[in-house]
Amino acid sequence: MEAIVVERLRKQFDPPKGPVAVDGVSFQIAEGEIFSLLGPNGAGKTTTISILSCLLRPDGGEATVGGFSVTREPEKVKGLIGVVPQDIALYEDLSGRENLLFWGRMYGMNGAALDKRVDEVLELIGLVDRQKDRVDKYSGGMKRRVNIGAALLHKPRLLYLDEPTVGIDPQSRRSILDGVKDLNAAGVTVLYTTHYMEEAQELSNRIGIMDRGAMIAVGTQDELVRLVGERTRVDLALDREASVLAAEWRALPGISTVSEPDDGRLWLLVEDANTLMPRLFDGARAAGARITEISLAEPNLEMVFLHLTGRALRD
Amino acid sequence: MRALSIAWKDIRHVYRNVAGLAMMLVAPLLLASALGAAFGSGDNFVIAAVKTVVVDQDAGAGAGMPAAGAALTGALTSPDMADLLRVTKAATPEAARAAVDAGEADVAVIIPPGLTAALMGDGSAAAEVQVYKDPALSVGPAIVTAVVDSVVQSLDGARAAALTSAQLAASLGVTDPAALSEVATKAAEAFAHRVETGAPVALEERSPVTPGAEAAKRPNVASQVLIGMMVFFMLFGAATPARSILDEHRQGTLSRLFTTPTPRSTILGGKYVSVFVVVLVQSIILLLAGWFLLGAEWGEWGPVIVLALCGALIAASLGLVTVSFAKTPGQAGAASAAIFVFLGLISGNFVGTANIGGTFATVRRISPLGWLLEGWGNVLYGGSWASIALPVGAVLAYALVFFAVATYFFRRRYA
Amino acid sequence: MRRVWHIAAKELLQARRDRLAALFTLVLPVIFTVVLGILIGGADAANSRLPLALVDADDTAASRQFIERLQASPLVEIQTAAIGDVDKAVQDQEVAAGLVIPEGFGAALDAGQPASLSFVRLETSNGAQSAWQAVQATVAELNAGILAAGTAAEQVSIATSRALDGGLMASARSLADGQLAAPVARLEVTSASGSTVRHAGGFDQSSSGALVNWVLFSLLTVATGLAWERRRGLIRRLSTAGVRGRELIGGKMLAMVIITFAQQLLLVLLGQLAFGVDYFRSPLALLMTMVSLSMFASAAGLLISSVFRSEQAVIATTVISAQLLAALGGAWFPLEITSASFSRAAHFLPTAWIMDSLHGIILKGWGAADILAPMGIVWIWIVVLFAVAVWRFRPE
Repeated sequence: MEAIVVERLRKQFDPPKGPVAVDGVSFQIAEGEIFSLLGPNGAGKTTTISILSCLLRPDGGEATVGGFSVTREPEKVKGLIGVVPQDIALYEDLSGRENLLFWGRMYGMNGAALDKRVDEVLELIGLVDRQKDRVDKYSGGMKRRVNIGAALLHKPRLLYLDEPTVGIDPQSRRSILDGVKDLNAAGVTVLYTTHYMEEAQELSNRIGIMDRGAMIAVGTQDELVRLVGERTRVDLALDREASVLAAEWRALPGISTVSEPDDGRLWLLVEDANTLMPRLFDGARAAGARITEISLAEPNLEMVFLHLTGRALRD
Repeated sequence: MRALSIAWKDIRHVYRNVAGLAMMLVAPLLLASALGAAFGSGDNFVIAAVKTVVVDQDAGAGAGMPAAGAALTGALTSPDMADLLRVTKAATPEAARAAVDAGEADVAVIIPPGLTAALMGDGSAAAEVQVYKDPALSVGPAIVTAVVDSVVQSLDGARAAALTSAQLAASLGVTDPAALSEVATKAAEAFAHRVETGAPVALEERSPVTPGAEAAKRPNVASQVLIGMMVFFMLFGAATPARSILDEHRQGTLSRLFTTPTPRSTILGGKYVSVFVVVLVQSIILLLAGWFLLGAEWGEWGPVIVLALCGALIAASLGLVTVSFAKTPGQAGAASAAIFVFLGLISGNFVGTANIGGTFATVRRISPLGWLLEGWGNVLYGGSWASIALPVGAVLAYALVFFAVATYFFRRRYA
Repeated sequence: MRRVWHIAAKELLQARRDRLAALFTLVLPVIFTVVLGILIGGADAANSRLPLALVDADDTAASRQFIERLQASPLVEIQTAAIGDVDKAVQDQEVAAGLVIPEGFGAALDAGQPASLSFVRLETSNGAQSAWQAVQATVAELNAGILAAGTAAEQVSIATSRALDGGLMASARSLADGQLAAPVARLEVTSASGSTVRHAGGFDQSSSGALVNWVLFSLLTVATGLAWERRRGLIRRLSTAGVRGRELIGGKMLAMVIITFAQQLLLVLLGQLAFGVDYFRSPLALLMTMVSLSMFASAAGLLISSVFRSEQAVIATTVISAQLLAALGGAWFPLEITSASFSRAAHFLPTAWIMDSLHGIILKGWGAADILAPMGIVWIWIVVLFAVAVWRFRPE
């Protein structure tokens, strides 16, 4: 059975003139899968996850979680899911343990079973030693861990993580990504939203790419990359600013996509790298520039996004 | 059970908040103590001596004759009046008025030059004693006016006694002027003596007897002062935990609560319980502190407990309904403060409200606080269950309505 | 200095967009003033009297005569009541006070025995105080008549050896009433305002107290605004842009002074035009007082938010401070009904001086020169509060 089925979901804020945050989005997530929603800020990822968390009612379409409708059976849906919100949502004047106890109670847990489970979760998130300290005394990374731990208390079948690594240090991020993999290995289905391509690539079985409220592509990484065809990615570094050259190269046949230059660095999607590389060098020489670095690679999700939308993932 | 978990979490949050505790407990006790100092402890209100300046222009009738002006001045400076009046003398009426205008005196008593002559005359000439008061004051001048009026009436009464006796004697055939004069003088003296020893009609003051009370009870200063403060600050005591709904919305924990299987009605119910418990504890502490520290006498404990519960209910409902209109804690703070003071003022919360009866009594009952204070007033004045039945019913009805309104707005906002 | 204006302009723009704040800064005070003015101001009208519940349990010629005298008083309006209703009517504040003429009143007077009347009042009621004076004056008239006639008859009886009988007493009474009807010694009460304020706690006095109360609420607005900005990192950002503490405090203070001055102006105009409170007797003095009040409230609010960091602490402290300043300054009840030491202590606070000035302007025609000293004290407070607010201000 599919864990989550979303069909032509639609949500508009402040109709009739307000923005359409989710516009006819459809996708499915299989049991035991890690599914990432990838897209830039404002793509509609958080709105989609809010609908699947039963926080918002859709204006159109339907979504089921674990077979239960989000609109008609929200209490049953909530019993299946754990939600890790994007912002830290904890009671700062309570300790880590007190927070977990409270949230456990909100999931209907009590007594010795709850105490035991809180101990397990504290072990899982590595905060056993600091469990009695108030949350407002924790570092950002520690707060994130409690933020995740609070969603795991009731052993949910599905876990939603809404951009859980925004603004944290690399070590904490690494820890979260490893933690997600461990949970998935234990059988939890994960819906993960991010605008970091690397995370989506590392974690996901399948990825849904969203932009401006629409789902523009869904599939495994290979399937998505194949959308850009048999193309090669060429990464270049020039010794000077490259926007003029980038514009020239876009016009060349055989080059399907050129990224926006970042100082002297840019990448291209080309159909035949062997044929095109001499022309790239010629073009650079003609413009008085020198290519200082060049490498070839397989296309990635960022290139897929650029190919599909014409814009960079981080625009 | 989950509602109680939410309530317990919120209650703990309140009691870890030093600032909130200060507002709920320290402030009303501080204010009540200050007001106790203002009005004096014990059973009676104490006010400052009235600064009175006297100008006596009355020359009197002649050597050896008592002067009316001197009698009036003597009444104002008598030892009996020493606690109430602080009397100084001025040379001229202009100087006396100037002293009042400059704020150096509260009242000026200006005795005209021909007072004794007018009293001793045939009634054709009149004399007017002037009381010139500071228009910003009322109680002090009223006291002085009452004293002066009393003396002036006595002087005129003595004159009337003298003339009446002379006329009466003449009507009975007494024609000797010396005899007439003697009877008149004796009548005047007898009048003056009788005024001092006991007037025929006395005006006695008492507090109203509350229904259910056996006799009139006069609540002491602390009780009267503290009850208004307590009711008023209970509103702020309720607004503080009520604002936690907005705080939670802002910090994201409210949305997180909504993602759990806990129904929204349970979440809201838990918050209502926490607000009620917090303000109930506050009122119990204030009642006990008032009784123990300030000597307040609340009345029969049964009705007192019921009124405390009702007060907590109405305060909780008012706190929640004012918060339900606001979007941020700052807005909620401003809104609740303004509404509470408005309600307090029209309910007659604060000492010194002009009781002019009629419309004001009706307006008071528009406010739930007015009903609550009416109930407390009845109990303070010795009433029992019967005297609080209607106020309690009204307060409960208001609380129900406010809870319903708050629920409507919260559900609409967090649907 | 330019930054101060910019900050103030930004604050005013935000205030204009905040509808809820406008409701509680402008609309609610106006509603309240209208309600207060109708209730209390109406009672100050020349032809209005305080309701007095009266029970005549005696129902004799003597009691009826007394009631007739009382009805002639311009201060009270008699409402006949049953014996069981008086106490409730007083308790419920439907009447200012109650008066009970007990059974046997007339008989006692006829027999030359002392009689008493029972005046029922709530102790804290100012209306009752005025009613008491009216009743006391009538009782004094009655006593004067009785005593004048009695003593005259006694002395004439002694002098003429005529029996002190009913006939003699009646004659004496008639003559005495005639004499007392045209008193030669009279009392006139006047004041600097030219007319007496007939009811204690009249609207003249209540409106200035209410005005001060509402302005003191701005303590909350200005203080929480700063606390909110600090929490959002906006103050830190301003600081990194080079804005100094005194510029920020100054800008916020300027904005709040403008807003509260507008609030006061609205209430003053309402009081003056709708309810005849003579605020504009001395426009310059009024202007000085209003500006001082606004500046004091703003400076106090900013000091609190400079000292306390959390929004909760700021809200709690400003609410407590506003209420204490109002109560102790005479905005809730006149300081004249407090003890001398309390009144002296209260004048340590600027609100007491502001209240004195407002009363002086409205009731005594004080001009700018008269309020220089009180406003001087207020301005010392303003300067000190502002200086400490700047000194304690931290962007974090």
